Amino acid sequence: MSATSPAPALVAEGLGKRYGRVWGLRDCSLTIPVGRVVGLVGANGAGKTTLLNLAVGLLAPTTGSLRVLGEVPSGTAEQLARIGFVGQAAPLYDTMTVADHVRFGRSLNPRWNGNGARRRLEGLGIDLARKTGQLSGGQRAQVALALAVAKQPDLLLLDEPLASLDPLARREFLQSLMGAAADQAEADRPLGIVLSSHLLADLERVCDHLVVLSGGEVRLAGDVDDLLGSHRILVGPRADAGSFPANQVVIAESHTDRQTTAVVRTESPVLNPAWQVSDIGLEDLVLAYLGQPAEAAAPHRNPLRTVATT
Amino acid sequence: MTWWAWRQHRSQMLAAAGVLAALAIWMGVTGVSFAREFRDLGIASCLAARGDCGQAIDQFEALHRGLAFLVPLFLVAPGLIGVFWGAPLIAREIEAGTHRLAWTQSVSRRRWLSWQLGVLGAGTVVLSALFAWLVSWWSGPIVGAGLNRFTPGIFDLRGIVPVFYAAFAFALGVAVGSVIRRTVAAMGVTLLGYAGVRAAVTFLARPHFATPLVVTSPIGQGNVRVDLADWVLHTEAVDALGHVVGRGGGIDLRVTVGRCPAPNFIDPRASIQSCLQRLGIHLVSTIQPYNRYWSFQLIESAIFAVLTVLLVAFTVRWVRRRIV
Repeated sequence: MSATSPAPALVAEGLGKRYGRVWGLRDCSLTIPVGRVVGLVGANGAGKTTLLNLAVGLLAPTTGSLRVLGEVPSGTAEQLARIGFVGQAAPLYDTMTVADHVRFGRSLNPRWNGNGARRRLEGLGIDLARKTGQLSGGQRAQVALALAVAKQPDLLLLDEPLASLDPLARREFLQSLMGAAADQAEADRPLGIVLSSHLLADLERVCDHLVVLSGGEVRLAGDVDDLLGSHRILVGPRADAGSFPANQVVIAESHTDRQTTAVVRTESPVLNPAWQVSDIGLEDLVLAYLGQPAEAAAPHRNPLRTVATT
Repeated sequence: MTWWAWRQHRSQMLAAAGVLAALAIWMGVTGVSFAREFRDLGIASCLAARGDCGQAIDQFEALHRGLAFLVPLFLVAPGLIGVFWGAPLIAREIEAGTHRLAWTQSVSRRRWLSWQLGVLGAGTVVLSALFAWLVSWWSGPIVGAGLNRFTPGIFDLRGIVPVFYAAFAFALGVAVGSVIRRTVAAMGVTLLGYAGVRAAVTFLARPHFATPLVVTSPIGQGNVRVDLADWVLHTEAVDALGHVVGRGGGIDLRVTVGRCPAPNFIDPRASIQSCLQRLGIHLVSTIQPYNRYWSFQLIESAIFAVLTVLLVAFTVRWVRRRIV
């Protein structure tokens, strides 16, 4: 552990963004640790794109504060040099060739590893002389990733890079992403990644930290291991939420006439023999938190807030 | 960044250069034949001797009557720079979502915009200067043949003002595109805005750049005090008491009723003229004399230069703060 720990990748306090009358993000308080692969999960319209656009300085917050790598996103050249960004649908200039894009990166970024980008793309079988408008969705995503990584950033933000990719392209993309992270770790310049998606299965494979957004608010945030270790599924005879002990917080419950299935958060083992206890998968966990209403009425419903680690 | 600004807009710039080249070829061919006819019909020497060149000029104009339709096209040309280069600059980036690529590289938005404006702006100045020089040369004979260069429509195509019109149109296009963020709508608004501002300056402001001179001349000798090259704002026939009895050089002949003898059949025109002179009717012209041509060019250029600077400043601030 170093004496001065590096600034977290992202610290949001009360962050809010309003578009006209609609709040894209509301009262978001969040700490994302540095050097991790963070999954940002939520349905469409949950606020993932808003949060990422705020982080890279494309949007300005309406309320609250945001710090990325210790600085307020203000669009300065030094700041932008440290953050790589792949926007939604991998925006590229359709009439320019892939090689033009690599040259574009070189002329706009002081720290640029163009040879690495070219090698990576050629290794994937992408013709550098082709116009990007003629590439498939998976190839476009790879080009956008290569451009963002060639910048040699400290933090890489990807806004739904896997949406509209076929399963093979998704797997290849994640492999490229992890490969880039490994390359930078080897070069002693660890790369933090924040990856948003509404497909949990892909995130489960690569992420070690999870943030769940819904309705513009943070519902869940923490290390995946911690989250999976602290939640259980309990199945047993019909019981009300109030009948659970204080150290077992009910996140979601469903009842039939005679049976109750509940997802609880607990630090200690469940000893009550009436319950059948099983581990929870990430998908069920996220769904449990997403099922909560926006204004939690019952006092025992507490969305898990931040887990700050370095 | 220079390379990228050029590469991104390469096809637009080449297209505009191509159009200008084609125009230059056509103007080269026709301009040379104009000059030749001008000489052959003897108009040049006639004008130099200040004789009555009316017949030769009519012949010249008859040969080229069909070209009158081109003048409005040339007037629009600087505005087209604003429509095709300026409006899409920011609007297209945002519409295509590529601003999420361009504005997340290691350059600030202000620097990105400065380079784009610089490269395209330089291209605008160069192309419009070439265009202005070309049109000035080409229209030389036409101007000499009686359409004076101070007239709205001719003034706008010659001298230095076309460069400033083009710069203004470009800055207007970029500003409109940054606010509207839809390419096609921005192009339309830019064209209308350009036309509106140009019309306002031409018809409302330009006559007043300097206090016009008021010149009187007696009836019957034409406007002798007014030079062919002067810009006549308006002409009125005025009687001895100052009442207006005719506009635009004509006279309402009802004023002769009961005050003039019946016209002489031998020379009706001369007898009416002498009667009008007896009645004290004379022509009053409000003009801008021809020697003010260059100061007017400078004033109008300055106006559009100031507008251009204001629009650029607005765009830089707007892009930094407000949009996406």
